[in-house]
This record gives sequence, C-alpha cells and structure tokens, in this order.
Amino acid sequence: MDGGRLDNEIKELMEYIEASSFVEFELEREGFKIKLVKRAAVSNGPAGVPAPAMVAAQQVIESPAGRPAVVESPDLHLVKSPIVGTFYRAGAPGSRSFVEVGDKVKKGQVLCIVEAMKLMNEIESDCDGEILEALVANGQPVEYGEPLFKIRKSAPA
Amino acid sequence: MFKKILIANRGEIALRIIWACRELGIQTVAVYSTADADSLHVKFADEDICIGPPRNADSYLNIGAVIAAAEITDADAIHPGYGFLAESAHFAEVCEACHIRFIGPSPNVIRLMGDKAKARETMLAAGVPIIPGSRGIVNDEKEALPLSARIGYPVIVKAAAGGGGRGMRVVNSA
Repeated sequence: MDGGRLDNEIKELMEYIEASSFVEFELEREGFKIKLVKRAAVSNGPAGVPAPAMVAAQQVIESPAGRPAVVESPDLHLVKSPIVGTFYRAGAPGSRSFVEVGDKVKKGQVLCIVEAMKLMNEIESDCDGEILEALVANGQPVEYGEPLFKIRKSAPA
Repeated sequence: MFKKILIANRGEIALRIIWACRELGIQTVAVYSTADADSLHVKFADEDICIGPPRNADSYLNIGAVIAAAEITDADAIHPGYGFLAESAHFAEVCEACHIRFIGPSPNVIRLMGDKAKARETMLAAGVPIIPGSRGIVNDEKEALPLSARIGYPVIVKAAAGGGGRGMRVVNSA
C-alpha cells in the first residue's frame, strides 16, 4: 500500500475516532493490523521509555484547563474561571460563602471571587440553576478556563 | 539566584529558556493560551498555567494574566523571551511594582533602545561607535538619495520601530 495514502487514511481514522464515543478501535486484514486507543482510556502502561522525572511532573500538575470538562448531561453546566488568580468562596476571611452546595442561583448572581494582582474580581453565574458541586477549595489558585462550580440548570422562568 | 522563573512566551523560545533553567537548577512555569495546551513548552515546564483564550492580546500579551500566573505559582522572576512582552517598558514596570524581577533591561533602557532612531542618538551621545547612517529619521527620497550616495551602496532601510526584521529593505543602487 502507498505509504502517504496510508498515513492520510490513518489520520482520517484517528480524527473520526477522536470525534466519536469509541474508546478503542481494532481492524485486522490480510497482512495489516491497526489498533487505536484513545489516550484518556490508556492505563499507565510502559509507553516507550520517557524520562521518568518528566512523566512524574506531568502527572502531578496535570492541567485542569487542558482536561476536557466532563459534563454528563445537557442540563449540567460548569462555571469556568474567566481569569487567572486565587479562588475565594467568600467576600472576606471569616464571612459566609457566597453560595453553598444545594443553593439555587440566578444568572448574574455572584458565586465567588478570583483575586488577581490584589484586585477582587466577582465571578457571576452565567445561568439559573442549583449548585451541585464546588470544584475548587477556598484559597486555591485557578487558571483561565478552570471549572469552578457545577450547576444543574433550571428551565428558564 | 532565582528559585522559580515564569516564562512569558511559547514554543521554541520558551523551550530554550526551560533547558537553560534546568541546567541551572531553576524551576520553570509555562504559560499558555487554550490554543497551545498541547505544546511542548507546556509539557516540559515544571508547572503550567493556562492564561487565556487563543488571541495573543488576551493571553501572551495580557499583562494582568501573566502577572497573576506568576503570583499564584510564587515565581520570583519572569523571562519574556523575545517578541511578545520582551520590549514592553510598561510590562517591565508592572513587574517591578509587583516585586517580580523582569529578566531584561530596565523600563528606561527599553524605552531608550526600542526606537531605533533614538537608540542611534543615544549611542552617539555616549561615544559608542556606530556604523555610517542618517542622523535621525529619513523622511523621503530627496533626503535618502544624497545620503545613500555619501554612505555608498548597498544601504539598508530600517523602520524606527521594527519588529522581527519586518520592514527592512536592502537597496543595491540608486
């Protein structure tokens, strides 16, 4: 088989599987076998011999922003951080959190604060719904795009 | 010596700085836009922070986001590489104000040397030898032709505020 064409076909196949819900794909024909496994599904097997220090570092600081946000159902919504900074649940040390798990929130309601360069930036909810989960602990640093709260959207009133 | 450096750049430029830091035993922090999440500089740095969406103005040129990333990772210095914020006097000033060392010239020097015409004047005044050229900016052909004849061809036309070699033209004859 022509090498360039084969490369292209495999690339196309990879793109197709990437977009699909398949985790693993295997095809065997005469003199030819291909097996594709999505990276997220691969257990930590011995993939080549990468520098151990690097692998360790990557596992510890896996980027939350790079991780695809898993939303299981269409009525679930993730409120993501629009800026880099330090995440706070309350307006001041010792005062009550803006929201607790189980609270009903309205679009535009302040959920938390992200502090950057000594500025307290109030982060508002971008939908109506119920807080299902707070994904970041108080005082933790957050990146751009990092999920902060999981909300179950309510039907627009 | 710095303990941890944030690299406000990407790609090959950031990688070179990461290797240098490794040799010196300095920790590195990579910053990236959502478009570059799979880049090598993100993989090889000790820590990485996503600082914004794909547009450069919202990420690599976003001074607030870069400084915030340095703050949350406790970096004691920022290396701008070249391009992006490397020649921003304002960025160097903000770093100073936030007690983060800017690895590069002081804001004053950036301002002085960023403009090529001003840089020539400054060097001349300081007695640094400079190559033959115009005193200040050349406005049109009428000025350029006699000057080029005096210097001798080929000459090069340069922009006062260039970047990355853009806007330079070699002229071989009148």
